Amino acid sequence: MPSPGTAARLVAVLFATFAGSEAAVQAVQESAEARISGYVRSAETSDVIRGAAVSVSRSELPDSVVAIVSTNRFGYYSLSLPPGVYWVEAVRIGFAPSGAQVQLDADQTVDLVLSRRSLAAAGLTVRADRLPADMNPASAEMSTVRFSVPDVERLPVVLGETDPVRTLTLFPGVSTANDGTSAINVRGGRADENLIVLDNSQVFNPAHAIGFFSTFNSDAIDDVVLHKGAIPARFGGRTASVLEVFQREGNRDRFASAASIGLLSARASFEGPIGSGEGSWLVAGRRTYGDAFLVFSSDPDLKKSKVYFYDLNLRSNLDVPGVGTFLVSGFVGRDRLALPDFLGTSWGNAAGSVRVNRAFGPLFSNFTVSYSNYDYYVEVTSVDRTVISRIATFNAKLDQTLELEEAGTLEFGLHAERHAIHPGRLESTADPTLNQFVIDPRRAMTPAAYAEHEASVGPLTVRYGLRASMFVRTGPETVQQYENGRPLVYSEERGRFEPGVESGMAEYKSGDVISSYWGLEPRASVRLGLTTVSSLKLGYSRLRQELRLVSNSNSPSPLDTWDMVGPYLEPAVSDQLALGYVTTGAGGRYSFSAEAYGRAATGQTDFTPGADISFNEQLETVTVPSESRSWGIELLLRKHRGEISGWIGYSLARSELRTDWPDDSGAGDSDIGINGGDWYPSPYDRTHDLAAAVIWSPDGLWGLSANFVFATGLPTTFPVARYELLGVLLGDYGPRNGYRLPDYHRLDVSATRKFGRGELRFGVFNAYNRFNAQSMYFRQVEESSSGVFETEAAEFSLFGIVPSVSYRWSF
Amino acid sequence: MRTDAESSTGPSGLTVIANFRERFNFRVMYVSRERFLRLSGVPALAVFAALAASGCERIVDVELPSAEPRLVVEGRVELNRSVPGNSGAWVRLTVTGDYFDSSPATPVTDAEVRITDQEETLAELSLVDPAEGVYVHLDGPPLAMAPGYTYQLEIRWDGDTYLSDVEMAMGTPIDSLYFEWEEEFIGRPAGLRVKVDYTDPPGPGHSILYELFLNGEPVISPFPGNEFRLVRSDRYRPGEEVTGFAPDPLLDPDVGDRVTVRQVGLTTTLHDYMLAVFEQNALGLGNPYSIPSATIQGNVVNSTSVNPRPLGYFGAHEVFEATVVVPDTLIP
Repeated sequence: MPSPGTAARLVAVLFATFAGSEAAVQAVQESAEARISGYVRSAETSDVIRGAAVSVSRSELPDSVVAIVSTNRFGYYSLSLPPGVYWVEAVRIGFAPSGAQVQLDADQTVDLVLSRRSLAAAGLTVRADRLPADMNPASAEMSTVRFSVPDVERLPVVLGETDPVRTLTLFPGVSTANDGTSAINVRGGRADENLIVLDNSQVFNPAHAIGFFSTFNSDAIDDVVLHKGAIPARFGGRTASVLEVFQREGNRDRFASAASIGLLSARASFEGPIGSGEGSWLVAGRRTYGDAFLVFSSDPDLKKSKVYFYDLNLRSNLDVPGVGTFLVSGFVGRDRLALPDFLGTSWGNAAGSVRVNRAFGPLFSNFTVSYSNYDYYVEVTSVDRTVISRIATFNAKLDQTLELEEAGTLEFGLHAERHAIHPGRLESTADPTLNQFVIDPRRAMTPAAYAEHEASVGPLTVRYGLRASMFVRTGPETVQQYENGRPLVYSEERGRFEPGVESGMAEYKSGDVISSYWGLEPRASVRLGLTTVSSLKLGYSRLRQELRLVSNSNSPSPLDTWDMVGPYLEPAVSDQLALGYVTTGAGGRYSFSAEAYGRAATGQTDFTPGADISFNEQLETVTVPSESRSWGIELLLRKHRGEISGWIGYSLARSELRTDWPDDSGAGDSDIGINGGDWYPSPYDRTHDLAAAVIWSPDGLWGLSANFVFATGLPTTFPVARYELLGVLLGDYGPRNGYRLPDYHRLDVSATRKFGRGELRFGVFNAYNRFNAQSMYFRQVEESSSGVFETEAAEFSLFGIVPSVSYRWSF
Repeated sequence: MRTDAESSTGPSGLTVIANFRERFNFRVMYVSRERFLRLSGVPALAVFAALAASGCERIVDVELPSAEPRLVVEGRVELNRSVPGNSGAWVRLTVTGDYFDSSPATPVTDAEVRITDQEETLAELSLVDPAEGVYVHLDGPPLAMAPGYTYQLEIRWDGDTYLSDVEMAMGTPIDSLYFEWEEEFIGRPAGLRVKVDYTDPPGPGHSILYELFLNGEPVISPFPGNEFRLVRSDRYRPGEEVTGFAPDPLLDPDVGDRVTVRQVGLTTTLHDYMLAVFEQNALGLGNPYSIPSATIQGNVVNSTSVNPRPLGYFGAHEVFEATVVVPDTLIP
């Protein structure tokens, strides 16, 4: 815990940082000890290694360790010790340990480089490696899923496209509403409740091909970290989870390249050093090539059609002496689908960030600016209409990490974001003057500040923090007004929601505040060491969310728009409490974790039945307030190394929603809304969810792997009766999500074989060709000229057995 | 705005039976119905096309729960400006049945049905077709009819009284009705299409329900995406002059066929209701990208007790219609 002296130093350091004076920072450091600090990097890729354990000992003997620290999320470590001779060593799963002898009499930088161990050799090593933080009994971190893309690359995937987001769904607590989406639901949260951060920029819709594939090209990705709960205070803006995706930094020693071709896409990546190791760069690209064959089509329409997606990743690091390390990261991804004279659509993300980080003794300082944009257009050529929609965010952040030695670590920072949402614009090319329909853009500023402290006392490690954030929606905007301020009313007698009565417009000028919200978000986690290899953990986080995806379907689509809180929509707030147990066995070869969580969120939204939300400038007239709650138990057994590695995860969970319509009588919860205002299962509620992933590497040449998934069928809604109207047949539907689809199960296998610099990979997705119903629908059968309406129920499945083959070269 | 009130004479029973099918568009022939998945709205088209291409479906047997029968109301007051003789009021009453029970809807034949206009004129409707449950205003004083006039429907049945209040929606005149030959176009065969030119009345809030008749038989193409043709709103382009609108892009009449197009005026509320109806029917709700399946609540209420809630709608409409016969010069 920080002493008054520590606090005084802290204030001084804070001041010093903002003043930008290195001398001032140094002046407040203690002088009796000298500091060892530096980066831990991978020998193969020069990427920093996050969460590596750095131990300092008097000799190479294992029992003489005087201190152990972990590298932070920048791969940086720092500690101070009395002068003397030390052995500094870094260890990390999947890498051979490496160390250096240090004569410490003044502050010193010691960078360590670790070589990736081949999986075959890994089995021979008996050193007690440190575990990744999520499975590490010594860390207060919990409710986290971490993996490195190279470690999971061999797992079987659809069409051979390694996809970090798909891999996440094999861990407990992460699910999707169907096989065709990469929008994940974490611990019962909606897909738009996940903050997705690529390096330092948020990504709004990480989906290609409607969602079959995520936008993350595995060639460019290094680490993936998902925070399912106990979310660090530096994150805000989403109420369920944070997904951090780190791009590779590029090789600092030599030029390297790789290329691969699969059934769906071709990929290439290039990387190399800048100067003599002062920096590195990486460029990676991927594009589907199926459309190249369209030119051979005999159909002239098909010949002119366009169907593809691509992404381009860029990353560069550069050490500038006296200034710090610059990190530049960029990403562009785009989908295009065009059928001549009929329809054209395109959507994509563009994100970029520049970060400068610098260590001032115990203070690790980061300044980041980032920009992120998501847009789409749909052009219906046949009726001469184009719809354009966009969201853009500009972000500036100052993040500081202060190592307080025995008093722990303090993180604090200031963030500011500017959001602009252009929900939709309708254009007609032939007649541009005629009633161009534009939904007013929405703008907001979101300043935030946070501080978080982690410290250990005996077997107890405590991390606690607080985030304060504001959301200020500003003009120019014209806001529709309603009688009694109610854009939506409920007609008791008709049993339905109806739009409120309009009562004029309110004009806001540029800079006028339309509405503003603020709130505090406490975060905390506690770890109690039970033995040297096991601990209990407890975590709590409160999160706020002001942006939301306007989606009325079970799966988000790329053509959904974003909306923000304002005069008729309040921020969502979620609270999550989780209790966990972690243990390791066989010298860290195995780890086991069990967590139980409960989560509740208010201020969420649903839509009135049958609401038309596309291109609706008055969404408030169809938006129904709702709340959600979920709880579950998650078990995860992981084998971290050896000839066979992998994991088995299981979760028992429940996730529910409820219409949160205010009760005018004041008699408590009202019975108005979906399913009579009762709790009902969310569209992604899976009672049982079991997933196993196994990677077998018998020798250096062959690798075999398999996934198996079993899950309770997703909820669905059945009609309980039928009726005829307007010449068509309709369903009278029973309770929403009151029924279940059949259970889901699937086995995927893959095999890889190395040939010198190449690697051939075969895979089979859904190996036993299970018909996994993704949805069920009820409909009138085609012809009914007889005057009789025939009906049927159909199950819809996305993937049968899907074989794949790909080949990869590295140079 | 037209403000003139026009009174319609209740047509004689004989007339009603004679042009029965041309007047009551509830038993409709299907032109074609393609199986697609789709989302709501224009942007959806792209997505569902790709999705439909990649998935597969199978027909399954499902045991569905059954529910107590509910009253289904389809009621109209129509002021037909083009064929004044077709003006009048009719109501069709049926009850819901088991979803997989393919027998015709059970008609309600023992209800008392009356409509009152804003001048307190009471119109008693009598059962003219027991097999279909159709009640028509045959006798008594005519209802006062004009856009903006209000009407109340009252149905007494099975111990409950069902009520609905509506305002007559303004209709949109047809400027021109004609045929045009269309070449084959993505999933749509070449053929002769009936086209409408019309001018949306000034100001917002005008919506149209399209009803088509082929040689006097009502026809419909409720395929996905077509709900935006079956009902149309001027939300995006009020006051627009529309030319060459094809209310049914699949109807392909032959030489000599007689095609009638009716533009039925809708209030915004009824437009939204009918859009939801056609959308639900066209989609077959429940695909991963569809809106959640839900019963569509109409504007008729049970005033005796909240349950059983009735289904369906009651509307008052100004109607314009035109008829054309396919000449032998158009088909190549």
